[in-house]
Amino acid sequence: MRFFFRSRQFKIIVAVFVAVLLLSGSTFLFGMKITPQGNLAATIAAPFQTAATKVKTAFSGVIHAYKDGNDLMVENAELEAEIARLHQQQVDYETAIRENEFYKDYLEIKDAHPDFTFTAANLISRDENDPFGGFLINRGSLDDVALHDPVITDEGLVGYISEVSLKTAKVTTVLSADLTFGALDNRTVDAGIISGTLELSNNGLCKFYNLSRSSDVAIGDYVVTSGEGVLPAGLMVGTIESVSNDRYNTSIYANVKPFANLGELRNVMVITAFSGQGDLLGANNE
Amino acid sequence: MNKTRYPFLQLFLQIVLFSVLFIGYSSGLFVYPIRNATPMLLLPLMITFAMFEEELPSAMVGLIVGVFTDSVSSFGGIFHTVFFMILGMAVSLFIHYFLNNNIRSAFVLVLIGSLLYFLLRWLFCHAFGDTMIGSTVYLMQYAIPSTLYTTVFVFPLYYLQRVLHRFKL
Repeated sequence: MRFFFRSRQFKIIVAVFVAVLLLSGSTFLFGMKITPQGNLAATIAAPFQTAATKVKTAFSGVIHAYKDGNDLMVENAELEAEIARLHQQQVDYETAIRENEFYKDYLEIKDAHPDFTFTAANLISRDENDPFGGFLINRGSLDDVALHDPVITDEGLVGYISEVSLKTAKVTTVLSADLTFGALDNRTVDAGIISGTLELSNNGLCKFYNLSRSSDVAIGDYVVTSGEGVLPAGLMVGTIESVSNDRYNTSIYANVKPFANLGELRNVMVITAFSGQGDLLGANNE
Repeated sequence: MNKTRYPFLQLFLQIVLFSVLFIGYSSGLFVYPIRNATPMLLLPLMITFAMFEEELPSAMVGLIVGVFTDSVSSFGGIFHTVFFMILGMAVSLFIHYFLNNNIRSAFVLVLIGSLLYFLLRWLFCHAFGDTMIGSTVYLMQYAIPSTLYTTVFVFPLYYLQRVLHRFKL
C-alpha cells in the first residue's frame, strides 16, 4: 500500500482535497453559509428535484386512493373510472379554487401584518436523514430570500431559512434544536422560549420553556411568536399539549404541537421582509 | 481494476444511475422510512462503485456525490464532500490490497461505512449539542436502525455495479 501513498494518484487526491478545504474554509471565513461548489450543485439539481417531487406527489396520491378505498375500488371499478374522468375535467377548475384559497389565507395574514412581504415557494427536497424534518425550497437569493427569513404556511410557523443558494434555500423547522425564539401564550401573555429537542421532534412537538412557575399556561392555549429573536411578533406557532415542571430549575415548560403540518408540506410562504427585520442581528453585530 | 479508457456506455449508465439515485433520494421518491430508520442510498452506491474502480476516480466521484449531497442536506458544511471523497479512496484501497471483490466484502464495507457515517453525524450534530437523552435517542432510534436499513441496499447495488462494469461498449 505504501506504493500508493507515493504515487501520482495520491498526490492528485491530496491536492484536490486541500483545494476543497481551502475553498470551503475561505467561504465560511467570509461569513457565507454555502460553499461555491454547493451553490452550483444546488442550482443544477433544483429543477430535477422539483420534477421528482411532483412525481412523488402524484405517486403518493395514487397509493392513498388505493389504501382508502381498496374494497370499493374493486367493486365499483367502472364507477370510479367515471368519477376519475369527471375529476379530470374539473382539474383546472379545482386547481384554481385551491390556489385562490391558498392565497386568500395568506391575504388574511397580510391584512393582519401589512409590513410582511411574501414569496411563495414549493418544497423540492427533504433531508430524509434529518430527524427534525429540514427541507429544501425552490426559492433562493435571486428571489430575495435571505438567511433567517421566517417560513410559514397559512396554518402557522414552519421554521426559518438556514442556508441560501441562488435558486434554493434550506429550511430549519420549529422542531429543530437549532432554532430558538421568544414566544407568548396568547391567552395569558406569559413569555417563554421555544426550541426543539430530539425526543419531542419524534412526536412532532417542540418545547416552550423558561415559563414562570406562577404563570397560568394551560393545555389548549395558543402560542405565538413574541418578536424576540429573528422572527416577527404575532406568528401562530402551535397549541399547548402538556405542561410540566422543569427538572433543572424553578420554571415550568410546555410541549407545543405546531399548527403547521410539517410532514405534509407542499407549499410554503417565505416572509422576505417585515418591520424590525434584522434589528436583533444588527444589534449583535455592533 | 479496469485500467483501460472508460467505455462510453458504462460512463453514461453510471451518470444516469448516480443522478437517478441522488434525485430519488433527495426528493424522497425512493426513500421509504421504516419508523425512524431512513436509508442513505448514496452510501452503498458509492461503496460498490469504488469497489470496481481505482483510487483516483473513486475519490473524484466521491467528491462530486459529496458536493451534491451537501447541497441538499440540512447537516451543512462540507461533511459529505470530505466523507465521500475519503470513503471512495479508502474502499478502492481496501479492495486493491486487503479484500476480495465479492458480495461479502461489499456487505462488510457498507455496514462499516454506513455505521461510520451515522456515528459521525451523531457525533457532530447530537453528541455534544443535544441533551444526553436526545443524543441517545438519535443513536438508538435513528442512527443504528438507519445503518442496518442502508446496508440492505448493498445487494441490488453490488450486482448492478458488477453488471455495469462488464459493459465494454
